[in-house]
Amino acid sequence: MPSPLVLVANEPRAYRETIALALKALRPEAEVIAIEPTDLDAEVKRRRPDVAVLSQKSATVEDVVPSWVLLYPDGTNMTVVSVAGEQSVTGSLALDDLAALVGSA
Amino acid sequence: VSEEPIRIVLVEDHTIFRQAMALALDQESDLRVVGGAGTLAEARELLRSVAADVAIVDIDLPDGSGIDLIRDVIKPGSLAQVLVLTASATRIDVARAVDVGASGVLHKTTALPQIVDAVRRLCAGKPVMDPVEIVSLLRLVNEHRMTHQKADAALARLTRREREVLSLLGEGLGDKEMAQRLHVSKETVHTHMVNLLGKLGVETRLQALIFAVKHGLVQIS
Repeated sequence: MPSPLVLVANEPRAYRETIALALKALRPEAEVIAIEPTDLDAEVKRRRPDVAVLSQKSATVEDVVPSWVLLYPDGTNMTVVSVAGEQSVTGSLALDDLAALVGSA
Repeated sequence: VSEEPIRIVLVEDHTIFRQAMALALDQESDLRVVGGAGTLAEARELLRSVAADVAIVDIDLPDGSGIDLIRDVIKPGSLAQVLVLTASATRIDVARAVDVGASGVLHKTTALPQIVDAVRRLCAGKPVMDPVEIVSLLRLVNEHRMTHQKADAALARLTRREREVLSLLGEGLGDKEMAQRLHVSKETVHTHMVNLLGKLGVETRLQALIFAVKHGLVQIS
């Protein structure tokens, strides 16, 4: 089974880098890449990731990426999780939940 | 000889970031995260039960400002230091944080290695902020304090009637309506208005209203 590819492209930078590092530690089988949010759409088209973490909605991500997490949009405490087109909104997503999502990708 | 790791407390309401940061810091052999809190109340409770060398504190917490927590960390007999990590602080927020004892303020756009470096520098007794910038921030806080003191003094000079006129101004009433509400003549309302403009040191009704709203005397719903 190929390793899942995760693009971490949320803001701010400290979040992006720590979340990418933590996912690499928790899911060593996954390929986790932190990228600039402005590069997300292009990287999604090029790499076709299994999971994307972002902080601004993206039509490209919605069309292409099977699982994505919209993390704290506009600085809120809210998170939108989409798995195979099924979306749910939560205010209490934990790091383990995110790692589990990557594990199931 | 092995040294004790630097004990860190994380105060951050974004759960995933707090947990990821804890994991990232724990991967450094000289750092150990000893606790995390998502609210001001949780942080206060946590700080009562664990000893920390550095508290990394966000300013925007759901139940208040992280700035209020800094005083709790910097208490007599404690060597703990505070590193503020914020996404949205204004310059005056940064200045207030430094004024109450934060040793450093970093924006969340800072790269992770720089945050780690700042923690190590703090514990080594090295500065993480430019001393010139610290002086500038403390000057800013002082200026704000003076402005508020002047405003409080001006508001304290207002009579009860002048405060009522200001309040009615906030409701959007004109002289005629104010006179009816206060059971006085329009000329009396006008006199109160002239007097309160003079006491507040402003020239127009709009300026008086803005002054009153800004300093909490009038609330506009």
